[in-house]
Amino acid sequence: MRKTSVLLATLGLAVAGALLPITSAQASAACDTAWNAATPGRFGAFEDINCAGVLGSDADNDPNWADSVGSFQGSDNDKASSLLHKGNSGLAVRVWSDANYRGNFGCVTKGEKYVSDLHDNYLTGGTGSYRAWDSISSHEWVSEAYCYGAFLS
Amino acid sequence: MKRAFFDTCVAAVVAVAVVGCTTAAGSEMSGADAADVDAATTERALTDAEQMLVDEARELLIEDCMAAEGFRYLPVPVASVEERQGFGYVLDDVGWAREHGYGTELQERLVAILQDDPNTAYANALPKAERLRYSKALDGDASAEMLTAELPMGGAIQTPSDSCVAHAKGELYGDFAAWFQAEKVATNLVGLYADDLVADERFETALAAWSECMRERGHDYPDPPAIREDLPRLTDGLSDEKALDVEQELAVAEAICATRETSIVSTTRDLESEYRGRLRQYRDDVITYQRLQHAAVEHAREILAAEPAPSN
Repeated sequence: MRKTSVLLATLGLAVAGALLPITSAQASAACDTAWNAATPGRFGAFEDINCAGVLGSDADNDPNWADSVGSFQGSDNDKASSLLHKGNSGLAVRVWSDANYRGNFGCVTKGEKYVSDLHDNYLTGGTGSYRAWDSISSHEWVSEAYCYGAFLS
Repeated sequence: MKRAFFDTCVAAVVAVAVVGCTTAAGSEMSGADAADVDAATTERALTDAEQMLVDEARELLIEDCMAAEGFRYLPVPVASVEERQGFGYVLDDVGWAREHGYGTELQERLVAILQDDPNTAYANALPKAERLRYSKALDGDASAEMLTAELPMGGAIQTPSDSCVAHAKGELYGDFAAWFQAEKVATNLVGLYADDLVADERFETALAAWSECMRERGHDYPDPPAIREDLPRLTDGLSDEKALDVEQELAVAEAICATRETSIVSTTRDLESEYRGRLRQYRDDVITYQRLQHAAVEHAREILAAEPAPSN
């Protein structure tokens, strides 16, 4: 039987550039350390800013951070305050405000390495926007093309 | 079960807020005399085939750079022309839709290939110190010099200035710092005008016609995103083959209604050009982006031509 595709739920909604930004030119020493220590191929999320308080990490997708399946479970839901990308070339991580890759999304790219503080940041992918902190409920690996572009490709 | 991610416990909290507010820059699209941000340029956008060349050359340059650092790096497969389509608001290629539906299988296959990147297994098999050196050589050191690009929607994004990825892009584009800045702006403009575009009366009229066309074909949807949202329900429990059949039928109807039966594609293309044209403050970045892209294609052709042919 067919597993419901993660991409089906999200195709066509990626009409807005949605990179998760920073506003300061300063790097986070703690996130540098976390990135250096992270296993290649994985994405990580943290309860606190500056990559502190590991919620979990994943080389795969997780459509529901609130359930008891996958790398993020139960209390991990709506808790993340910083993110880290140590994945493979060509892949971005899309984090979503709702389970099953719904709601609003933001992208973390490999070149960006990490987002050290999600507070005062917004998930602008999809319709409208939603706060990025304490709101992430699912994540998926996508080709970077999902995070850029124009209204009509 | 959570798998091990970190070699060390990272508990330090540094009182440096690296991410701040991302107040949108807002739409600055008033002014009838605004210059067209795209039309002011003299160069067209790259074709998908040209972008493929650039990506393939980038991988070869990374391979060379990593070899100079003492590491093996296998060029990562780049997305094909077909895999670079289907990302827009509405499908505009009936032939592509007939073959790939909404491209679900294409994208799943691409992501699977990238996730199975043998370079990751290679890196993970290295001793700890070498693994770290590998990561820093490939992707750079975030505690070293970082490049910063301001994003049109607010905030900024950073990347290490020195890495094999940076060197490869620097060689292709001629100036990695200029490329990083221009690319981040040029590819992140859509958020400034998407909401206004879909609220435009001309778009609403075209969309209503498209929706009516779809309804007449037995597919009652208000807009293309509504189809994407409904697809998981429509394909739940189906075999891959049956799911593709469902996708193809809907995708072909969507594309035919969009390109042959209504003007939604042409209208939206015109509107997008118009709305982007009002973003004159980003014109220089877009011009730089396109100029560097075309320079990169030429460099890529030279790099690929100099590559020895496969021995088999």
